[in-house]
Amino acid sequence: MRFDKPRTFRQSISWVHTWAGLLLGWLLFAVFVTGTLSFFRNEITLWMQPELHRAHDDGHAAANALRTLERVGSGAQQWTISLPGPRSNVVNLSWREAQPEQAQGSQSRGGGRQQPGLHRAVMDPATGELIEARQTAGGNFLYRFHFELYGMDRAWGRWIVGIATMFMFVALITGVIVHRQIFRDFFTFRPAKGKRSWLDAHNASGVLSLPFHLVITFSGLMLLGSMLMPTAVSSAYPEDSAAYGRELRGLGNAAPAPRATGEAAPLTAIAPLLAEGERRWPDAGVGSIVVTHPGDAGAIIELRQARGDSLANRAATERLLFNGVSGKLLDAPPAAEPSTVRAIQNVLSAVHLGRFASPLPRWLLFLSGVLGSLMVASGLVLWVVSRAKDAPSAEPSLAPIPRGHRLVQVLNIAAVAGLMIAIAAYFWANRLVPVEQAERNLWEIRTFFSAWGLTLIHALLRRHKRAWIEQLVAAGALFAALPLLNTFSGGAHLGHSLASGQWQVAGFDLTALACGLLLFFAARGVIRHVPRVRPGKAAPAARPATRSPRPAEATAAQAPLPLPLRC
Amino acid sequence: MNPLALDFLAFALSFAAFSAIALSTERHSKQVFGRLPALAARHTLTVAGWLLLFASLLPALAARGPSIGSLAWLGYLSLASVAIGLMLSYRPRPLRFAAPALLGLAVLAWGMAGH
Repeated sequence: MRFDKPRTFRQSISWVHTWAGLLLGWLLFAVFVTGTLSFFRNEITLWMQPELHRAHDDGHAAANALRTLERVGSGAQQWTISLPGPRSNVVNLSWREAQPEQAQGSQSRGGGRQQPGLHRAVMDPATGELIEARQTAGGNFLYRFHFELYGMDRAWGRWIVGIATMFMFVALITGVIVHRQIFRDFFTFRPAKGKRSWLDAHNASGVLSLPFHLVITFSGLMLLGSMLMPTAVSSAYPEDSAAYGRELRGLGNAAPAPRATGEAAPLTAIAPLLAEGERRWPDAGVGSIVVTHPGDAGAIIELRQARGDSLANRAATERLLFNGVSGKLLDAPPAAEPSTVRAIQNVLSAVHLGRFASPLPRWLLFLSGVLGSLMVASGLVLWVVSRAKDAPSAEPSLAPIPRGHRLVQVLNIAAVAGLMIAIAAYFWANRLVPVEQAERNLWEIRTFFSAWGLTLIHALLRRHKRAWIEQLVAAGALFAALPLLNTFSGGAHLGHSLASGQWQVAGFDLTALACGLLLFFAARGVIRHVPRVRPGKAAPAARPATRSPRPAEATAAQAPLPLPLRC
Repeated sequence: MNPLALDFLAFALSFAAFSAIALSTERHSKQVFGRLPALAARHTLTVAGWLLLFASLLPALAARGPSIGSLAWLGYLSLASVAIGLMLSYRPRPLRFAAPALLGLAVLAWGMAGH
């Protein structure tokens, strides 16, 4: 666009959309793809620990866990048992040893940080055996990369992703404005029509799940909001910014922990307590058990509901408190009602993080994320396609491609197909790096970035079309073979996981297979692609018969444009 | 009641809604029927489509409550519209039967799950 001439509003907006989208598009694609995968973070981590695949729940998980904890965690101050559920097939145990001087309130800080005196273990629900799983970066790496990238200060990564999110928001809004016929073209996709097809694909993937894109982008901004706009907090809480966090979390009303009596007494049987929990929460069930002062006469057993049935009060699930020795119900505190502001924030963050247990809405979010990734990728390709019309010939062009266009071509290949290779390579590294390797998780991550770097070099060295084909085929092969790799490297293969209802593992394998097939399909599209010629030139003879336009559409075809993916 | 039957009903209703809206447009009705239906019929389709669209929210809410239900509803809308977009691009003719068949199946499943 020229700035020395008058231009229409739509042209200006279109310019903003194009360049905001292009500059951050490569990063946004990575953020979208890793974010989409993060909806299944737990499942990915489970797949990456094949030692856990064979574990299954036979209904005695809680009793087995208590028996195991008596063995390994006797004398601990508190036991926590996370029971198997739709997203986990194992029992996660943790026990906290009594600390001489432990300040109340310092316990729940700092997510993954190692706390003194805290032990964690994974247990097979049926046997009660502790399972030693391999060290892996798991789904957590993809999750962290999604919002703070890697290899830099966390704050920097968050700032970069935050700015990209802002651009995404701008691109969404400008995209709706420049879309010419958002209602008339709502369902329109015209395949094999060059630039028109890419524009249709970009529009359709954007419009058809526009509510999702808006919600996910806005809530993403909100999650990073207090960092992007710190003055909002510091002006409302001038003296004490920690008060903001306390007020946000609704802390300050936690009941003081009961004291131990020092008298030894055995724990009551857990089954009747669980039955009471199941009676009160028929849908959600019991999610976790916390035993305070186990083995003491003052023991307390707390059952927590598996999940809230509302997004508005996310952490506030219902609880049941029992006397740990007599088994008498002491208290059933209701879930705390969040304030309106907090409820809105909870809803948005719960949607963004997919904080609910049932798999169906999670899959819907995943599919919307896939659409969003396709939207970004098709937009990136569209940039190249739109500019390819400058070169009029459909022959393998001898005219030099402008340097900027070549740069975008190369970055597109590495950012889209290359990222797919990198992610697949990450999963391969998970199985091929020896189990006893020190810093195993780091080797997985190193493989991810090495593979990604190699795809960039490959894209630089190869011709545009060849590079796309080779990388798409490589990514497709790596993904499609993941179920096989899983079979031969100690995981539960599809026959086993499907037959025994291991949906977390089976879901990963099937999704990898589907992803591989889609990548092959995309590669086939590029291989079969023959550039269209402008009117007046002879049509290429080798036009694939399957792509011939239908009679009704052939007459309406716009001036054909040469396509970008020139050999 | 099994929420899956209601989920299916929500999806079938949104699929029917978007089919009706697509068929009310000139381009897509020609694609599907091979000819342009009468104007009155297309108006009816528009109204029916919008009504079905709002109706599809109800089973989603009934199945999963207000917050997750409305989120799932948006997911069904995307899924249904993508399915219809793909059918219109590659196999437009069967769209005539797809929506009624899906809706019939969903109502059947819902009725069976309810009793």
